[in-house]
Amino acid sequence: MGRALEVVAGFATNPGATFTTLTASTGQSFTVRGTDQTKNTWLMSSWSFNATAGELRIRSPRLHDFFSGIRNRVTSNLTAPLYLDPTAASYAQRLYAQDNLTVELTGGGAEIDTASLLIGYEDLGGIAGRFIDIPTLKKIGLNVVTVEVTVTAVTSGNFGGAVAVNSSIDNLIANTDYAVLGGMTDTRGDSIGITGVDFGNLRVGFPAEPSLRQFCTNWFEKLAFAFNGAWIPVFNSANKTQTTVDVQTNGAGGTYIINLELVQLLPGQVPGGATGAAVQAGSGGAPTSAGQPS
Amino acid sequence: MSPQIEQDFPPGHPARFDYKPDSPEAKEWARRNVSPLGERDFPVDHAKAADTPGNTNHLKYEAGVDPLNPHREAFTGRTPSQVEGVKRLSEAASKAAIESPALRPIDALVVNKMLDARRSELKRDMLTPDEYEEVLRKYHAQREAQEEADRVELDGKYREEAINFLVSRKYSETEANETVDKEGALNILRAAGIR
Repeated sequence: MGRALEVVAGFATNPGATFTTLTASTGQSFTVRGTDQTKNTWLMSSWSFNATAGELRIRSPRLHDFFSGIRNRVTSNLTAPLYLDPTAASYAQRLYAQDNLTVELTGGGAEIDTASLLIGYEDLGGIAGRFIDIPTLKKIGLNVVTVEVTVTAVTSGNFGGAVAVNSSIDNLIANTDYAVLGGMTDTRGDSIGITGVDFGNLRVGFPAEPSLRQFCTNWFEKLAFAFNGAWIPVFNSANKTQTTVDVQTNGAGGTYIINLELVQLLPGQVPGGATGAAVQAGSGGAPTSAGQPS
Repeated sequence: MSPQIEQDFPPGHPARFDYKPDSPEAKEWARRNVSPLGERDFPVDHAKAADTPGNTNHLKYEAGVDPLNPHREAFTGRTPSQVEGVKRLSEAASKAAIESPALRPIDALVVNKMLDARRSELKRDMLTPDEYEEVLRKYHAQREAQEEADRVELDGKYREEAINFLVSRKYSETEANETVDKEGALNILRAAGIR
């Protein structure tokens, strides 16, 4: 199944009190990707990072209404989920293939304000990202490991500063699958993105909020729980140099220390990964069984 | 070892044998133990009692902020001068940082198979960025070729459907072919409500 998850971020320059259509980050778009209409696409969350309080409005004639739609108050300097808090029970908004979502923001009169949408595709043709659900994680998870990277964000409102997951600490075991549960940042921004071959080159992501670490540390696990499906991204360490972490934020840029919380998985359990064709599968002496407290 | 002396009442207590109401001990005992306004929440001199000098009841406990050093940066504890220094460095770094490249979506299953094939060929797991690029270029070329083939096949299918439709409306085969060339197969099918 061609599952895909994508965080689409955008920015508005000096929006002030005027609803300003967001400019999507380079290479991204607020138009829902083309999918088979019989397969579901979901708006799973949205968040915003404003230096000045404003409003985030998401509209489409295909959704409830094109007058006000999903409109929420953005409080200043808090990148917390606005519509759909996927940290517990939640309810996703169905989206439609090729629908051009109108995403608008108000905020400060002399600043770049930013917002992000998290869109999940149950079956996006030609992507086939690698994702697992919570029962699979519990069944094949072995060890917790943290990847820490330092990302220097750009000041243009786009995603920037991409570094490989092994750029700071290269401690991943060769040819091993890792589930990304979520992550934490020490600096506020809009979105933290993780991109890689195993996610179909789409960017999965979560809010860059340092004060709500409990929301983000296992963000994808919470998504999988809230929406009852396989939304925990998995990558293979063989692709670590091509699995990158970047940040999208406002005009202040900044240096971000990001911790990604990973779980090492039993080898060969998640389809579609590297098989360790050249070297042995997994590390020497990798456990062959796993489990969680019951 | 000197014997321990146990007293019946502490100094200043009204029941003590040497009680003198104006003595410092008696005043101190009364200050600590007599509450003319009623029962207290905390004993006299307790750090949280409202009448204890220097109590901390007024402090705000905000996330990441040391209430006794509120001038320090939240969550990092950096002093203002450190904050300023880090900000300057960070701004310079952000100006030099580059935007992330826009990547073309790929099919993870297919690309991982292609990457594995390349790894087997090279007999090592870690590919260089150039080797990754080479595999991705090959993948995109194959995908574009496949998409083109699909498009051609679909065009042929639409053309056939349009000709069949026109023939069913009493067009000759030649007329149907000419009409499809002129109007476009998909336009005819859309006008007919078929697609």
